[in-house]
Formats: sequence, structure tokens, C-alpha cells
Amino acid sequence: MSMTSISTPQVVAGADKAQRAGERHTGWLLLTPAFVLMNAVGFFPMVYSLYISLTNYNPTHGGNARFVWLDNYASALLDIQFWHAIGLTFVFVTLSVGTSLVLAVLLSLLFNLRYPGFFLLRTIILIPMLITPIAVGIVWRIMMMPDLGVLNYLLTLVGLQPLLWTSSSSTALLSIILVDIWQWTPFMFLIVFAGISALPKSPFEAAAIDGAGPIRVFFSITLPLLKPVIVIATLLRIVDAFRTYDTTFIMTRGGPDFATDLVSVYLQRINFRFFDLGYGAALSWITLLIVTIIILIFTKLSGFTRIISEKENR
Amino acid sequence: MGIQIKDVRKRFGALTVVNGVSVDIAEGEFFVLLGESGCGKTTTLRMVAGLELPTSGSIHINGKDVTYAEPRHRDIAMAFQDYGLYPNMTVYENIAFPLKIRKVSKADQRRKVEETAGKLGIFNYLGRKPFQLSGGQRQRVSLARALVRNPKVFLMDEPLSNLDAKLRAVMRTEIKKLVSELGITTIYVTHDQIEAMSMADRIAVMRHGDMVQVGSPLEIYDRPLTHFVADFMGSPPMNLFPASMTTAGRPTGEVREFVDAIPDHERDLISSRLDASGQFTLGIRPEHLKLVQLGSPGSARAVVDFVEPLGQTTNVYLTAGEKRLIAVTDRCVSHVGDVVGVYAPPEFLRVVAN
Amino acid sequence: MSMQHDAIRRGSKAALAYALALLATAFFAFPIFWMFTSSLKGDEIITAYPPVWIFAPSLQNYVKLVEDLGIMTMFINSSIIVGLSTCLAMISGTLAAYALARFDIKNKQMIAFEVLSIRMLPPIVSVVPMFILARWLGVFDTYWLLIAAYALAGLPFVVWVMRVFIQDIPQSIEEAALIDGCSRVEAFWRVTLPLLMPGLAATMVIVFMFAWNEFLLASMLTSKAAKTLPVIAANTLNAKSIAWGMASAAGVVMSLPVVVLVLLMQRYLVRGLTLGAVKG
Repeated sequence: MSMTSISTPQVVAGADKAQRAGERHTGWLLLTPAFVLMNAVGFFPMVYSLYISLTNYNPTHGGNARFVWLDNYASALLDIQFWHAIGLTFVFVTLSVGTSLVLAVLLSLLFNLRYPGFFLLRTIILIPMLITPIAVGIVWRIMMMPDLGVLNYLLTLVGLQPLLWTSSSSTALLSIILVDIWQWTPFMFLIVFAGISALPKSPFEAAAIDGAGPIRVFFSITLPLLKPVIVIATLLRIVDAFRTYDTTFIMTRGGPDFATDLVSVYLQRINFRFFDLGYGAALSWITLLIVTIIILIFTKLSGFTRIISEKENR
Repeated sequence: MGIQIKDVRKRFGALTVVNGVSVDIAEGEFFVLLGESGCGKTTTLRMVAGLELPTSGSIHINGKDVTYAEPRHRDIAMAFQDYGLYPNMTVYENIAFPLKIRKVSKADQRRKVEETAGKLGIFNYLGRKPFQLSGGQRQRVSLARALVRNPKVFLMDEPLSNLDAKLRAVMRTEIKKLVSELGITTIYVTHDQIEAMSMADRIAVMRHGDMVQVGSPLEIYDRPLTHFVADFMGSPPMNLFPASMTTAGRPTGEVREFVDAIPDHERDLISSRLDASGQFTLGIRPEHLKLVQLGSPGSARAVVDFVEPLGQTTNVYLTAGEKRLIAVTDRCVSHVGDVVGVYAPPEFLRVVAN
Repeated sequence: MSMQHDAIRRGSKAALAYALALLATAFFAFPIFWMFTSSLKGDEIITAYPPVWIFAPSLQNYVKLVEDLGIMTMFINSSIIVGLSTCLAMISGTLAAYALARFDIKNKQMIAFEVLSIRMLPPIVSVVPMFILARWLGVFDTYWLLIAAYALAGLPFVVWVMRVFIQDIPQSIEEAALIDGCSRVEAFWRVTLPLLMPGLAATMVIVFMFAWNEFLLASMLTSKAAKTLPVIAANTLNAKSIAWGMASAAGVVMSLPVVVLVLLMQRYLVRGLTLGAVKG
């Protein structure tokens, strides 16, 4: 351990003596508001939710909750509708995040050419991620109307067959995936583009001198150098895509025929249509567990923790 | 008056960084803490500044116990390795900042800032922002900000290490001149022995959290107490030979002729510098070794390995027995492969502890 | 000959790049264009087929939003709730970030993990206990409930991003201020805070955006008094005959503040949004 690094340590003053008594506690004092907020609004309800999940609490049944131990979890395991929703969500997240990522990388390469006017176009492309998801659902629902919608009009204009979009169970899931891609590719693009802009020049100059072609450069240099950025962006998107609710709620409410019944939509129905809150709490814990496992697998496979610790030590 | 550091210790968790340091720095003295990175010199300085608090011990500045006082109550100024300039303020605002905090009147602020800036040759840059300045100019701004309020104590943490060699030499003399004119008590931290030698009134060589030796530059150069100090000071470094005491009470060592030549007053020191296993080190500066005719009385036989002519002097690398030596000589006519005699004048032989 | 060849190749490469860039921009911009124009269409032409491209714009949808739905109340609700929760998240989060960045605190890793786990927490899990507890505490359908919920939701993001921003400010600047005569609070206030301003502003816009756009918690934890804009916008689709024009207008009203704010701040946003994933 080098002592010049101790000369600029994490401590401004690790006060050891009562003469500067306040200082030792200043750190904790500064953490207090965040702590209160996290525990009062965050963890206390979580613990409470864990408790509810062990009861058959349902306010429409007079509100007298009975402790049922793991009954809710047991029925969840047999709940075909729930596992159907989990499966749909998995497909949704995989297709949406995967496509967004590919699009974002391609867009970043394209816009990195930095021709005149590209800055303006780039700015326009960022707008979808800023639009309120409810508004996104509204406008896409208008555009996707099978008989009167502008999308089908444009399809027929270029000589293609009109589609039923969200009105058919065969295309509904793909439709909401398309909307999710539309809204969140800009976010991925923003991050990946920033990553590309921050890349060092010398590896590319070296590759040019070594005579590597553009495709070779992309796979051997650009992509590996971008990996940390891509991994972090993907992780953020996976976490958020699992909780997608607003646009789907507006566009399909899980229909038609449960074709877009994402787990968040299903949970919402259990909780606030049937008010089966005990069961809903159990389902949400199972969902959280599944999401956590998926994220852990992803971080393991992608070396996320290594990337983070390298950043901390830079 | 001045600065008294008494038995100061600093621990970060299990790691002891400063291990009981005591020193008395006189008013107006230019005191240098010298050592390799990790020796505790910067931590010692930061404790004097009040940016770290000692785990135990006490610090007095101008007779006042400031061990646990806040930095602002110590009447000190400090220059940082990365200058610590406020990037959002102009040079003028940077220098005026300590005055502004002390609620000095606007007119006085202007007068003092301009005076100090003039003295440091940055008067023309007062309207610029730090990022528009070169490294040397930034360091001048940081010095001006430190000196503008006439502090009693000036602390400098490797202020020149981010500058190139030529500028370093210029700033060295300038800083030394400035603070000695103003008579400010100064503690200066560096890992560069040339800076330490050229600027200090006194040097403390630190290692592993201890002050190994405190003394004037020449004292430390001429009479190093330990192997570490001897090796650290001077370039090329001192020639050092492992030696020991026989049971008969006679010193023995690798280059027989040198051990035999140890003069009496050095021989008396041996007993106090022996380590637990009865070993000590014999040293002689390269510039004191003499190349003589093979077989001259008192000389050892050596082979010339390599010759480095530097113009003014010549470094000659030799092997005597198993031992490699360096001699700094005048322009000489030695050639690689020559077999020569090396002679160590007894008055320059030094007994140092391991 | 070959120079001419090169020029043609470069020219066609540029043409292709422009074509692709314009195509991509059209894909991402068209729905926004459609939402905006729909909000200006009267009921008779909004669902006309084939679609009407040129028409006399009318503000009647916006007028109806204000008069029939009383959208001003929701606008004020949203502003108060989102404004206060953003402030709360910014202040508590920045203080925590400062502590984590600058102080030697035991179990720092644990705290960082706790903050991150809040970030992972989906609202779908917390909405049920919050619903029950809110009814029990009598804060259901009040500002305070949503303020607390949104402050919590924004907090991890603030801590995470501000920590990076604070770490980027050299420690020696603050120490110089301490030596120059500032107390710790003064040093933060006069030296660190001005340097943090761009970071704070960027972070604030993002926290604002997430709270402003939030729907799930708002729809479940309010019924009347504290309804926010996304909830009322969703309600426009609940009516028997869906008011497409009003819905589009509501979408524009909701989205406009965020779009304007973000585009104004675009320069600072990248670092905030990338959670420090990208240096620069």
C-alpha cells in the first residue's frame, strides 16, 4: 500500500479525538436523512409485505387476515397464469433489450461519423425516452388502430398487408415489444454513443496502420473496448424492462386473450381487481426472486462486478 | 516558537503510518521531510495542517497546542502537489479567497493580491482561470494564495513534483528565496533528495513512519546514520559494504583493505551501530574513492566494468573481489577491462547501521 | 483517376449515412409528430382514413382538458408532488453521497449495496404494502404519500450519480479551502457546491423526469385529491367513447415540460444518465 495514496485518502479527517467530537459522526449524520427515507419508506413496507404474503389478507373479505404460512407460495407454484406471465415477460425483456442494444450500437457507429447536421438528428432521436410512458401508450394505440390507424395506412402505401397489431393475440406481444424498443433504444443509444465518444484514439490508429478493415476493427477493438459501457447499459435496461407496466396497461391491459399479460400487469390484476393482497404479495416476492436470479446470472456472465471494481480503482 | 511535534503517531485501522515522531522546528526554519512514497512524510505534514488528526501525541504551533484544532485556526498556509486551485474562480479570486474569508476590506484585498501576484510574476494572469495556465503558473498562483495573508507557517506537499525538470530547478531557488526573505517557518515534503539538499536548513529522513535521521543537509550527506539514509542520499549513491565484528572484537568485511583502514574515531562508533546479529555497514562516497596504480599501499584490486563520461566528472564502475563499486573521478583515462587499484582515504570511511 | 474514384466513394458513403440517419430519425420522431398533430385535430378528422395530413389546427382538445377534466388541478398536483419529492431526494441523496465519497465510514460497501438494492426494487412489490399502510396511517390519496414514495425512488440514483460527481472534484480543493480559513460547512458551501452545480442540475432533471412520468404508484395510491397527470391521462381512455384528441393533448401536456427541460440541459445529461458508466 503506497502512502502517497494515504496522502489523499477517503478521509478528510478521520477524527480520533473528542476535541473534534462532531467530526467523527459527521459522516453518519450526513447519511441519516437517506437512511430514514430508505428504512421508513423502503424497508419497512418490504418487511410488512413479507408478512402479508404469509396471510390471506383481502380487504373485500372484511379485512380479517388469517395466517396461512406458505400457502400463498404453494398456490403460486401451481398458478399456470402466473408462470405464463413470467414466461411472456422473459420473452418481452429478451427481445426488447436485445434489439435495443443492437440498434443502439448500430446507431452509435452511424452517428459517430459526425457529419454536419448529425447533432440535431441525434437530439431528436433522444426524445422518445423523455415522453411519459402513458402518452407513449396513447399515441401508439392511436397509430396501431387496425382499421383507421396510420401505421396500416403506411403499410398499404408501400404495398404491404395491413396488420392487426394489438388486436390479434399473434401480433400483440410483438407490438408492445416494438413500442418498448421505440421508447428505450434512445436511452441505450445515449449511453453507447457516449462510450464510443470516450474511446481512446490510439488503438484505432494502430489498427489502421496494421491494415485492419472496418469490420475487423469493430469486432476486435470497438466492441471489446465498449464492453463495460454496454454491460452497464444492458443491466439498467433489464432491471427496468422487467417492471414495464404503463404502456402495456394503456395499450392492451394484458389482452387479447392474455397475449401480453406481463407479470406486472398480472400482479396488478390480482392486487387491485381481486384485492387478493396476500397472494399478490407472495407473487411479487417470487417475481423479485426470479428477477434477482436473472440479474445475478447476467452480472456473473458479463463480468459486471469486475467492471465496477475496476472503475472504483481507476 | 516554531513548530513542536511530540511523539505523534497515526494509525489507519491496523496500519501504522506515523510511528512516534518528535521534532522541534525553529521559527523561520526551512524544514524538509524526505522519504520514499509511503514513509509517512505526507501524513505527518497533514497532521500539522490539521487535515488528519494524530492517533496520539501532540503538535504545537507558535506555542499553542493545535493537535486537534481545525485547520483554519492554525494560521498556516499550504501548497498542494496538484495545486488545489479553485477551478471556477479566476486567479485573482483564488488569491483573494483567504482574505475574503477573513473579511479583509475590498481595497486591502486588491492591494495585497496585486502585491503578491507581482512578487510571483503572475500579475498579468489575474483575470484568467486556472485551466488557462501552465503548470508552473498554477503553482505560482497556489504559492501566491498561500503567501497573501502572511502566514506564520507554510506547509508544502511535493509542490514541484508535477513540473518538468528545468522548471523545478527554477522554482526551487525561487521558493527558497521567497520564504527565507519573509522568514516563514516552512515544512516541505519531498521524495527528491536534490530538492531537500538544495532547499533545507534541516532535513528529516523518514522511513516506515519513523524519522531515521534529522540534521542539516551536509550532516546527513556526510554522516548518514543508517544504510537506508546513506543509500537514499546522493547520486550515484554511497558505496556500501556489509561488515561485522569478529568475536575477537575486530571488524571484518568484504573489502579487506577498506575495513582495515577504518580510523579510530569511526571504529568507536561500531559498537553503537551494530545490529542484533553483529553486522554493520561500511560506506564511502563515490567521489572520495581514488583510482591508483595497482598495488599501491592500502588499495584494493579492482577491474573497470564500465565508464560513463559526464563531461565535468566521470563515473567509473568497478568490481573489487565480489563487490561492485562506483567511483566519481575527474576526467580520466580508464578503459573497460583495466585492472586498477582503488583507495579509500580513511577520513572518508563511514560506519553506518544496517 | 483513382482520386476521382475515391471522391465518388466518399460521396456515396456520406449519402448512405445521411439516408440511414434520416430513416432512423423518422422512425423515432414520427410517433411524436403524430401525437402532436393529433392533439390539434378535431374529433372528426382524428380517426379519418386515409389519415389527414393537412388541416386547420384547433386548440379545442386543450380547452376541453382544462374545462371538462380540470387538468390544471392535476398539473398543480404533479408539480407540487414531483417538485418536493425531487428536492427531498436531491438533498438527502447528495448528503449521503458526500458522506460516502469523502468520509471514512465503516461498512461503506454495505451501505452502497443497500442503496443499490432500493434501486432494484420494483414498484410492483412495494405498491401493496404502501397501499395498506397508507390507508392505515390515513395518508392515502395525499401529497405526502407520493412525495415520500417518489423521493425514495429517486434516492438511489442521486446517491450513485452524485458520488461519482463528488469524487471527480479533487480532494485538495476542499482542503485548500479548509486551510484558507473555511469551516467544513463553508468549504462545502463556497467551494464544492459551485463545482457540483452542473452535476446537481443534471441529476435533478432525471429524478424529476422519472417522478413526473410515474404512473403505477400514482394510480394505486391516489383516488381523487392527489391525482397526477399520468393518471388523468390514462383516465381519458376509460370513458365509453375514447377521446383520442384529448388523450393526445394530455400526452403533449405531460411530456412537454420534461422534453424542454432535458433538451436545455442536454450537455450535462449524459454523465448523469450513464451513472458514471462513461468517463467524460
